[in-house]
Amino acid sequence: MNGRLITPPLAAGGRAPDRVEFRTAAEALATAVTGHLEATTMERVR
Amino acid sequence: MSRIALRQIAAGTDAGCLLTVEFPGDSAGPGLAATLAETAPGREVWRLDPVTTLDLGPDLCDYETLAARCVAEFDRLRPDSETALTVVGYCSAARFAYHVTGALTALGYAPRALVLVAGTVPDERTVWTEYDDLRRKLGAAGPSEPPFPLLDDPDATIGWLRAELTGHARAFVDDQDFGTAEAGAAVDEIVGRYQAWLWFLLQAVASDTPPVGCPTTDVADPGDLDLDLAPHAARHV
Repeated sequence: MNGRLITPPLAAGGRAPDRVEFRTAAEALATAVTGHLEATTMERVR
Repeated sequence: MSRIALRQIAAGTDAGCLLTVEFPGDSAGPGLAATLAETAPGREVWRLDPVTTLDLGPDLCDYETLAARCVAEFDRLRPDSETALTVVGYCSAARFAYHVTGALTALGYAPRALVLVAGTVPDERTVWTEYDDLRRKLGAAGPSEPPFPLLDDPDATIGWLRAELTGHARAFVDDQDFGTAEAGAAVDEIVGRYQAWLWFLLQAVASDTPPVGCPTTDVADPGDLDLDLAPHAARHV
């Protein structure tokens, strides 16, 4: 629901990405490969 | 301490559905909702991410509008379900959790309690520090200070922050020899996500804390939390 591919600018411990993470995120998005987060506005956890 | 507290939240016979307000993709923790789900077998647990809602939404809005938007989605996804629930706000989503509780009440729900886990109230310095952290990671050098009071005009502030971050991010991509059109799209998405995050913090500073018609409890300070926050315990959001 409302999901999309999203890079994790804060994902790794609530901090900004370092250079490697940024590049990795950009590459992941650019190539639409798996491994990135799918952000959702609302979800049932259980 | 916190495991016990979380278990108490989860096991309360009148607690109803548990609704967490947190940033699952961004938080230092493994996810409050997931932890509660483990702690409270059999209880319905939902998670609301206000930053993603902002990022995917039609506009950047104030807390009251955002809370109404989130609650409407919650209501749409679980029609005819029980109205009793407990709202659990995490860290810098604590103030927004008050607005969610109020919006739920306005829609006919019966919040039993509002629980704040490691609740914090961001200030203007928080907003600048978050921006400056990313700016530095993108290669910008030197000290920086806000060029103007960030709270005077939040719309102008967020526009300025977005433009600055976009410039830094594009320069970074160029510096990395990664200047494809796809990378440009990635930059836009990253900056958009950050814009939503910074806007959320700006609104936390600008917003008041509305009264809620249910008991409010502050579960623990960050040091007491047993949510596997290490090694980033000092930077959870």
